[in-house]
Amino acid sequence: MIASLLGGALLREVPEALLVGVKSGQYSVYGSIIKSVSNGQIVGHLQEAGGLSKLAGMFGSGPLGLLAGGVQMVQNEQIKSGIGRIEAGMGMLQSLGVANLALGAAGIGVSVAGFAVVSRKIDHVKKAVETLADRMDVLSIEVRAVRQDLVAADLDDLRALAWAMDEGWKLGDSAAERRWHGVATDALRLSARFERHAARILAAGPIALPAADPMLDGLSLAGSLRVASLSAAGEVRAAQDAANEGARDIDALTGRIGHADLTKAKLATWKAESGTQAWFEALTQARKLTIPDTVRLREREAAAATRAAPLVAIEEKGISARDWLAAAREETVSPLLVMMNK
Amino acid sequence: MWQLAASRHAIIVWRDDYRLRTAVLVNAAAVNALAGLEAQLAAVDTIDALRAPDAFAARYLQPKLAAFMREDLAVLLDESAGALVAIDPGFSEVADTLRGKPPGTALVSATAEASADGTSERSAGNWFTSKIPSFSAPTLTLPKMVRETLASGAAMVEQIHHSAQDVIASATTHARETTGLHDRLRAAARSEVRRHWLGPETETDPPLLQQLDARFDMVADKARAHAEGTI
Repeated sequence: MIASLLGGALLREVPEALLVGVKSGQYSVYGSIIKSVSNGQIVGHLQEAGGLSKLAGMFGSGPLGLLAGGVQMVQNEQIKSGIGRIEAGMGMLQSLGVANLALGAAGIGVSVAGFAVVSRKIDHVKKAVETLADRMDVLSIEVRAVRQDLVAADLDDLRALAWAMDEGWKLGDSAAERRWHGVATDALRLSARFERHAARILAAGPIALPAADPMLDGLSLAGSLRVASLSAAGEVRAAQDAANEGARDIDALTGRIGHADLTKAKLATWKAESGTQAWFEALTQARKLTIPDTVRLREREAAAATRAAPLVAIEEKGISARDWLAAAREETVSPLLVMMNK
Repeated sequence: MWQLAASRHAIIVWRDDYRLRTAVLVNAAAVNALAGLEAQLAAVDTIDALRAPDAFAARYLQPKLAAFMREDLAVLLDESAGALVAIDPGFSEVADTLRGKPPGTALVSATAEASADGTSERSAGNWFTSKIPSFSAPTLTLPKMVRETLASGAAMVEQIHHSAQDVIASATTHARETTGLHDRLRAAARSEVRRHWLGPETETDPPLLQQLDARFDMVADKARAHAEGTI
């Protein structure tokens, strides 16, 4: 269906050959980019589509990025009762290894998620912020200095912006453009606030990463909204700059935090005696436990770094970003579409 | 933008991999050294060890640490340099700061003195003493106390190699004291491992693992800077 839009196969459902190529290791996925492993060339750009809302809806207001649990959740009674298309969509996300990315705060490509989806993502972030209070006694002074009520207010502002963004699609051209320009400005302000919250917490070191994670998700969501609103308003160059700036901000916060840092921070909270087998076992356990946090870090950075990648190609083909995003929104079945590089 | 991000990710994955592998390796060396200590306890000079268990532990463990750095660790670091270059041949100059280079600094001075005294610290072509002119890389050295001990030469080694006969000749009434002494020596050795091998981290005279982490961090930062300048 979607392939007939925009005068050709610019945006289309992810072909089976691509899924097979990723599975076989011929291609790899980095953020929203699919590239050839042998020569590093971009094969295609992934772009989230309207069908994502059906998948996100299955998760209610709970965590959207449920890691390996995603597939099991989908294989629940709803699936067994015949929601085959959703199963296929989830299967595709899993095949590409982007389920958590697509359903989490970072998203894939330029966000076209409707208000309901973004709102659920914000709910998830908000819950994570609320749990900080339960752990206040073990958190550092840097973490406690970040007022949760202010973070919650910022998340509410973000939700309102998501609503305003969504509503823009229902407005006439000039009103929509004004609306989206306004959303972009406010998203910039919110990005700065989430960045400040995250930086303050991360000053405590890698051990504070779990506490900073909701702020980083907030930053990611605000940045995504900014890029989407500028793109929809036809400000493609500004959208690219905004995406690059967002990627730099996230890299500056977490780009130097790695698996070794998280492992050692975790290890330091235990009392294993160094120079013993027990220390080795504790290190091994800490290494295992910190894999999910490490993956989230890298996925968030990759999503930010690749967000604007298709915009250049779209512009070169003489297609407006607004039309391109509208086409992605209109795809109601598949959660992801792809723009092949050739 | 994405190419740069992908390059940064490859660098940090490399850094994390080798930092963790190094931690495992240093710990394993410490486990082996401490296990080896048990064989020495039976031959210990009771009076001397009673007087200074910390010195005994240092004299036994520090040559082990130096040998480990010269051998197993040097191999791992050479491998890590190769792995970094495999990410991008442009990182070769940065990676060279991890490879073995002609000796030139603190450890070599210490080992040279030790060699003159007959200990086996000869031919220390150590990676950690290397310096690449274009980078002001901090030189990784043996912890200060280790250097001092190594420099004192063979006398210290002799003190830990008393014959077993001396111990066998000890009176039965001395056995309980000896058992307590062994525990003190073991505790001193574990303390030595904490201070000079694995940490906890410290600003002054950092343990080996902390120095290695800092070295990997520095090389990763240099590689990032290189990537930012070329992508």
